Amino acid sequence: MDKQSSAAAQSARPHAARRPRLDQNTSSADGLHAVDAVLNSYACRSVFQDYRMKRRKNGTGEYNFGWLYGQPFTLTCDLRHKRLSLIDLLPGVQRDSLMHKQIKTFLKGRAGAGVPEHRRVDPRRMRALARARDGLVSLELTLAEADCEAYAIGARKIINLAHELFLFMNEYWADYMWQTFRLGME
Amino acid sequence: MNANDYTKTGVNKSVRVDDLEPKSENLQSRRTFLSASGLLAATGAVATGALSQAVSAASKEKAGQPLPLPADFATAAQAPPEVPKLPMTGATLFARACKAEGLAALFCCPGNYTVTHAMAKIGIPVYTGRDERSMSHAADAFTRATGEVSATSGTEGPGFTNLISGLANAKAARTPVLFIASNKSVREEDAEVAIQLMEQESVTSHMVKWQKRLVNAHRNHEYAAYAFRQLKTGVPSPVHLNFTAEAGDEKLKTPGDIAYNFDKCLYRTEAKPNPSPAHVVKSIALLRQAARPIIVSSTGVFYSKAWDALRQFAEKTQIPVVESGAMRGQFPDDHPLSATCSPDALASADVVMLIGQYCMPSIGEYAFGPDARYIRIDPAAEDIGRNLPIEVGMVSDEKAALEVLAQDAPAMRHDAWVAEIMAARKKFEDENDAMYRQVLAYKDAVHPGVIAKELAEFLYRGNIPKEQTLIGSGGFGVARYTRRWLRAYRPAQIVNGQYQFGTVGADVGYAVGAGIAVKEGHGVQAAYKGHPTITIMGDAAFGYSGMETETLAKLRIPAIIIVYNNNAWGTWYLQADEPRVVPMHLFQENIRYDKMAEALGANGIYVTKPEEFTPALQKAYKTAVETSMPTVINVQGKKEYWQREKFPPGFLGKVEPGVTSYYH
Repeated sequence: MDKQSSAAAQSARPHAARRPRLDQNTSSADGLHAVDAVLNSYACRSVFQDYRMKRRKNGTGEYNFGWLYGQPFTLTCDLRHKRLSLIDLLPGVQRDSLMHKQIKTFLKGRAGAGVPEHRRVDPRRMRALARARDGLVSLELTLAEADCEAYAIGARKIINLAHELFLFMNEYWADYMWQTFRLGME
Repeated sequence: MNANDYTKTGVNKSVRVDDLEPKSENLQSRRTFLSASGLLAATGAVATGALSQAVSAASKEKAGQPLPLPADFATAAQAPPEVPKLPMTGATLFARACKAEGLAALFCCPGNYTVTHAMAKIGIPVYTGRDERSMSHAADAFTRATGEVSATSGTEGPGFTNLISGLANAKAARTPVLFIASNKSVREEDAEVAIQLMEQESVTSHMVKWQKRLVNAHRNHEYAAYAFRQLKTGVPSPVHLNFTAEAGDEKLKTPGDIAYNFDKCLYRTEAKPNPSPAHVVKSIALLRQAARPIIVSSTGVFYSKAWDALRQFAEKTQIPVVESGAMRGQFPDDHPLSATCSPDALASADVVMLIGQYCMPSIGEYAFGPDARYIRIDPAAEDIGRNLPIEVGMVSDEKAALEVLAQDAPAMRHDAWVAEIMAARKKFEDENDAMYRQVLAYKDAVHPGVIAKELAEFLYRGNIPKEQTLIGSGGFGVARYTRRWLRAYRPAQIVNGQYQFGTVGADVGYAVGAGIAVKEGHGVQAAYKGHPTITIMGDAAFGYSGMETETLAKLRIPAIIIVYNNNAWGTWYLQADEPRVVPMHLFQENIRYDKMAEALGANGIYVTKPEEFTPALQKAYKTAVETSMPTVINVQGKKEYWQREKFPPGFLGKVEPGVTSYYH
């Protein structure tokens, strides 16, 4: 899909969510499609709201959707660097602050050998990073491979990783979550 | 009986005074509630050791005794209940219908006289306190602890408005409590004749399952039937009846004066909705496809008494269970399939079966990940699909559904998944232990982690059967620690205080209601009749309802109240760097809530050092066992413990569902 896709378009045929074309040779379009297919499957199940994909001029894919706490999320897929990023996921986090350090420790822990395989960020296949810039933390996942399957797995992984990061923040930085996402402080 | 052996009615294991003896010599009791010439002499209890030293030291102060209770209480207990006969008032007719329905308890303050007096005369247990709000919370807690319908009442006008917090709280928790408020005569409507006239229905319309203004005494039996149909069928929730003077006062003279006078077996049914075979098949198919299925057991499992069926289904299919809801313990926390203390595993679940989850989370509020697919089982079809997208929506009573599923589902194995749950449980326990070791370093006051850990040690790894003691789990900041350690091993062992509505100040009211439930052995508390209960709260909460300590003492409820006293509202933490705002969130420092308890006829202990907490708890429990009197343990903390940079781990959050949940 070269132009915008949306969950609304898919909702007319809810069982028609596209699958990554795993049987084809790697190409930039396949990588973006693979990510699109995974994210669109969440939209078809109403996990994401108002899902849209657009292709930037530099060949990067940008994916927008509403998800946790009604917040807008932006995921980018940079084929040149084999990188998936959830842009500006956590605002108001200063670089190397206690919170930033704990986030980095949390992400490092997700690659540990004790983490169940279905949850693990396998360091042989990908690497997760919390990049702080101008008080905004983005979650990045850099892939070891650039094939279609790697992008599909990476897309699913970064979404699940973001979910787990929010769980971590809710457990240990509840006050930050209340203030940042207006969750109500009771 | 051995002088040191105090076996209580219904106890699975006797509680020995020696077992509960405080080990510290540093108790700072400000009241001698074990006087040397009184209780200790009478029981022949230990004459040596730390306890006797503490008692000896304390006996230098004025020996404490319970405040005198008017002889009228004993007279009332001996008076036989009246059998209502025609002619009777509308209030008596209504009370008769409530009695026939087995209304277990009425919690109120004086007011709504015709109805509450009629109930008392007819033999419905009536408990009065200091504030209608607290009494409405007491009714809520009583029903959450027992599964039995209770009632609360307020007089017209302000008595009614005082009930509103309790009503909203009960609605959020889906508690089937009958809220009754009197009202002035219909003839006075809109006229401002005298005082306290108020229209009620518009106030409660969004907080009840059903409501009715009663204006005609002839139909009181009929509307009682309406009320109990609502209270005892479907998804539970409160009901509000507005009793005008006409409905209460009017005399009924002949049987013909009573309209729709059916017996309860003729005006409501015990039938429950059963699951459709197609939805059972779809649910089982989805569960069979799953690698990591999980069951969320919530409030509806309690009210439908489905815990045996739940266990049977879970064990046959080897599907883990995580609890949420207004009360806990329907699936014991120490069961090998319990995921309630395994928060880190929840995100792995791929199929989630929500059962009796009346209060529905939205996406992201529960820890299940974006790949999880949902089955929801609920008696109300109109609620299925709300908030969370579901793949199977099964309309059924919880118990009926679980019985059918247990029968129809094939045996399954999820060994790897159960191992992951167990590993997560161990990780959680290890984190808690590490947290406790960390906070033990803070010596200048008592950290909530000390309360949490040592309370758990006392309740579950000491000399008390671990399933024995009901806990009212309240508080704001302190609860973020205590919930991590509190466990439930049988239905309604934990009443989840702040559940869903997040009411501050309900807790002493809860202690009254839950305390009566256990003291008298109602409903699922029957096996634990007479045992002490423990309720945890913050100092802000005690400020709202501390006067109900007098109610606990008056009713001789063996309740232990733990007040975490950090001199501040829980909200202080977020304002700490706003100098002009901070004072709004502060109290005077080191308030002696223990002394307040003493003045109200209860016992008080002031704890200022970590090493004093466990001895204080032991002493309070011992007192509760021996004297059936309440104790307030005023635990001096400090608000700065919420600051994670200065006192890690600081203020904690939560993961839902499971042991730390209270939103859903």
